[in-house]
Amino acid sequence: MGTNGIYAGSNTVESYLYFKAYDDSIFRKFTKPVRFAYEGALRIEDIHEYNGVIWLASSVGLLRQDEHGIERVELGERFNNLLAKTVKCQEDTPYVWFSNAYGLVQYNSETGEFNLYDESEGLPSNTINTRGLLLNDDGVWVGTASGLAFTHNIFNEASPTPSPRIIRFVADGQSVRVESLSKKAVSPNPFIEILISSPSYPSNKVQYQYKLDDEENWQEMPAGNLLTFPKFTGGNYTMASEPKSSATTHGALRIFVIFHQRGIL
Amino acid sequence: MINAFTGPSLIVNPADGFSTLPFTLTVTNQSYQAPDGNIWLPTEKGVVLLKQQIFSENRSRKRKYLCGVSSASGRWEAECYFCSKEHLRSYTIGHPEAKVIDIRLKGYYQSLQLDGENLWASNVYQILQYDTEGKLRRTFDFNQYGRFIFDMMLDPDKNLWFTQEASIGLKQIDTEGNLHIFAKEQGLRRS
Repeated sequence: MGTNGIYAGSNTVESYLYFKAYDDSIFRKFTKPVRFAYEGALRIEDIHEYNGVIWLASSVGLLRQDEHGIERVELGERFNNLLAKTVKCQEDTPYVWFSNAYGLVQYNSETGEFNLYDESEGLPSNTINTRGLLLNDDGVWVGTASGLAFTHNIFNEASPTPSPRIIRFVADGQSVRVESLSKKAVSPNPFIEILISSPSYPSNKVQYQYKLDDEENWQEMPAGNLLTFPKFTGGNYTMASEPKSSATTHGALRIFVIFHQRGIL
Repeated sequence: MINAFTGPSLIVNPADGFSTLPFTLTVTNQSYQAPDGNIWLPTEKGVVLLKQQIFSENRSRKRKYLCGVSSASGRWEAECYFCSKEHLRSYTIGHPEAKVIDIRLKGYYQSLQLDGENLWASNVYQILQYDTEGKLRRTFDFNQYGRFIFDMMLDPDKNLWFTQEASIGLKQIDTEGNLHIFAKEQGLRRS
């Protein structure tokens, strides 16, 4: 149900959406030309209109339609073209919630960021059913294949992710204690490996970005949170990382190491 | 939390009593709860962080595939109503278990809707209308039109709209209990 009428989803790309105003007697086609590429057939599973935008959970992912057209919400290779079963907008927030095979996704329509909630956050199952999502004043209710889950947390306030730590620093195959980096000499142009982690659970869902002090842009941390620098040239370096794990947390910028490459210095 | 060096750690919940920490850890003689609520345990395997999960599971005796959840306010007893294949339940926050409202053996609940006075539940090709006490008021049977009634929605005038498998268009039950079918003549070109 929309602000001014009723939406009905269908299963053809030519007429995937209909609309009937409350004071009208018939449905009218409400589709826009679909210009994005997708695999398989387009089928609408759920609809939520909020602030003039129609969000569609579909067989090819989360779609966004407004007066200008329809587009697929780009969520990366992992989530694109994946069946979305249900969609709900959280009032007075930029959050759009939807479910797919990985669990419950919270999408920030203003920033494009999204967070995934799954069994590691307490959902009995990652399979969330059609009509299995409810947002109300009490919190978030999720109907899964293995039972009902609930949280009071309505995800409006974020707390910082614990600051990351270097848990392994290796220069040319030799482990070095982080605390002694400023005192210990390392060989010229060393091959450096840095493994970092935050004391957060689940640690594998924490996303990190990093940069050195002479770099302008943040870079995504490689898989496994292992940084490698094949040939570090001489100089003083400051490294910063920004961790982020879920919507209930936000990045805690933390400069965590300053190291000097001796031997060249 | 109660730690015992020679046995498993116990979690004490006033509502549930004692439960065993679901990990095979030998915890030394104390634990630390940080201001953020996380618990740090010194164990024989190293320092372990216990962090409360964001979602908590409602425990129902029979956990089956949930088909729909619907919220309630005002006259309704519980905050959430939900259905699984053969069960219709309500859940009140803080209660240890959900309450069973109705059981339909060999049935298949599909979706729920609530208005101020009615709980609507679709079950196979029927729509069941319950009152606020969970008592069945009326049964609408649409066997002649198709198979499962997958989805229902209430419009602002409390007309109930629904879709039915292997049937045409949309159907509506108005507030008088009359059925209206919206199909090709009403603009819907596809079933």
